[in-house]
Amino acid sequence: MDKFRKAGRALYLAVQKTIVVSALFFAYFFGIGLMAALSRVFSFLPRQAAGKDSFWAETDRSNCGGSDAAEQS
Amino acid sequence: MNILGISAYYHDSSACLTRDGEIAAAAQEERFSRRKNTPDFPRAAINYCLQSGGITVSDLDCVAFYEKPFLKFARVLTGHIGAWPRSLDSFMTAMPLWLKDRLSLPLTLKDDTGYDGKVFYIRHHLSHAASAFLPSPFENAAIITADAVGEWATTSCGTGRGSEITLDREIKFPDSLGLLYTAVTTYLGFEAHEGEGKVMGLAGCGRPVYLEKFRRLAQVAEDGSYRLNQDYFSFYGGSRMYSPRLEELLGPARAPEGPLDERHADIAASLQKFTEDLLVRMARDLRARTGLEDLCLAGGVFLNCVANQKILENSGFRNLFIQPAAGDCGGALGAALYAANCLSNKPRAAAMTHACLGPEFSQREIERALNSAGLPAPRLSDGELFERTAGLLAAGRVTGWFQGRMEFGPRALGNRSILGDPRNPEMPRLLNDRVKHREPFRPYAPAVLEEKAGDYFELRAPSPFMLLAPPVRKERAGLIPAACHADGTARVQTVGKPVNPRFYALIEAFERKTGVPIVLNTSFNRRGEPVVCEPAQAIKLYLETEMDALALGNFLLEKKPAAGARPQPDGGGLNG
Repeated sequence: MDKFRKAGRALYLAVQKTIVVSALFFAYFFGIGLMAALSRVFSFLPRQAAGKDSFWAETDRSNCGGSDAAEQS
Repeated sequence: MNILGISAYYHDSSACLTRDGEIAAAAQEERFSRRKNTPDFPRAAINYCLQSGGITVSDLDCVAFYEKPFLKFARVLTGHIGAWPRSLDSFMTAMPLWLKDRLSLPLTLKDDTGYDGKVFYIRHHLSHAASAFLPSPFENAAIITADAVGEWATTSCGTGRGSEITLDREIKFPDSLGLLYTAVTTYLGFEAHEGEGKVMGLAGCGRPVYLEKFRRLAQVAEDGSYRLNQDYFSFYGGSRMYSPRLEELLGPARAPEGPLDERHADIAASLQKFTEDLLVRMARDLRARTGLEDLCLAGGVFLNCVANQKILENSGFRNLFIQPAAGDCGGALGAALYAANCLSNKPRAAAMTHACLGPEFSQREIERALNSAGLPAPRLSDGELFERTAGLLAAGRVTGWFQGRMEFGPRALGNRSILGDPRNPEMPRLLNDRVKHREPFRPYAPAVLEEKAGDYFELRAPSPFMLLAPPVRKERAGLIPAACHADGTARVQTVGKPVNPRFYALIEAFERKTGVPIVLNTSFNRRGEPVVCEPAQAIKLYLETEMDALALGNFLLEKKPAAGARPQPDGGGLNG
């Protein structure tokens, strides 16, 4: 009986792993791949004009409040 | 009010407990798990902090995490998109980790500690900024943070006033000074997140003859902001952080553990000079823009004590404060303090003057560890301990020094240290051969009595956390050859009597015997291992290496010097 239970458990884990790995492959090739294709289509757009005086970006300063800090709690 | 700060899941996980705004305890997980720079959830460090504070999770008012996982996840996904399809391996490895642990901190906290309360997520660079400004002695100060990358920001600057911090400018991934330094570190054959300090040491042995080539790697604006030329880097997945074009520019990369030559030292020197110039320019602009006289620095980039020294000398700021755990482990401290001061609108506690926030062990616990190791030793009075240990150091013996609470952050500051005589020019090599097994070009740091520091070093301000590298005074350099790096600087630690009275007393005793108020101080570990935490670990290292003596609390162990054991001098050089 114990042997059957162990075999059943091993089979369950193998199936679970296969499903997870397949899902990740699917997500990578279709989800990430689609995004990659789109980003490459638009990659001719320049990041920023050359010769800028400054490369600083202004922050939105929302990082200074409690509401932002708690957003995921 | 009890607040637990946590940093985890990138490198150097840690935990910190604040009580009513005071830092009560802090430690890195690596010290307990014995896995250097571990990114694992800091279970043991959390347990230590709670135990040290005499509380349980039910006494916590909140937990503060040092970054925002979902924002970071978005950046990681963007990276995988950019490197598709080369990022498959990295995607398959990273996603299960993200989905299982990193995006579900409250569940992990509940499962591992039983904590079920409020969790605040503080932005990565805000945690760094808080870790630098809130424990600083300044009421108002300018702030710069710089590291590899947080969520998106890699560099930011702003101001702190009272209990408020405003970061108003940032540079975002993939433009990152920290990643540039790390990429060249790996190009030079050293490990990422571990070898940057080695490159800084190597830089002292070279000349910045590649500086013009480094200027092609990034556009730097007059205000110190910058944009990396991504043609030379490969930050989006892949097995290396740099592209083949970097090798076309600088020559072939060095293999890990391969021989080092002058070219490698020159590349390191050029990288260091490029970094210093950029940071000084950034600090100067911030000084002009804010009109403030004090500057707080945090983020892994500011573990670069040579660059910090240049900022202090050339930026126009009068004072610097760099928190001892300036890297990611300090994020736990910053997040906890931010929740304690900024979110709760409470005034700041007294300035941080020491880093001794880790576990300590009673004389009885030390005695028990010695007995378990079969090494019974007599218990000395404080006076005897200082005199005899100073005598051993003066006789040129390599001595372990394990006292009080373990330091928080990467530096050993006189509680988990291995000490040597700075007058002996052979001491760095002895330390390397017998215990540390480090690369021969890396310097050893001097710990000096605070009030005597100016006699030996061109130091404008105290350096209690070993984060400045001033020039050694030329007339005194001959007295402490083992403490001087090839470029004539030293990574100084100033020791104040109120801050660490036992370490101070030891150096004073050494001065009485030798006339020199300085000892060489290096961390109590071997290359590639975390610094020791417990007495048993210190004893093990003492027994497994050729350390001559070990002062554990008030117990002193000595090995008999083996006849003819002293190695003869050899040629030295970059490779030893």
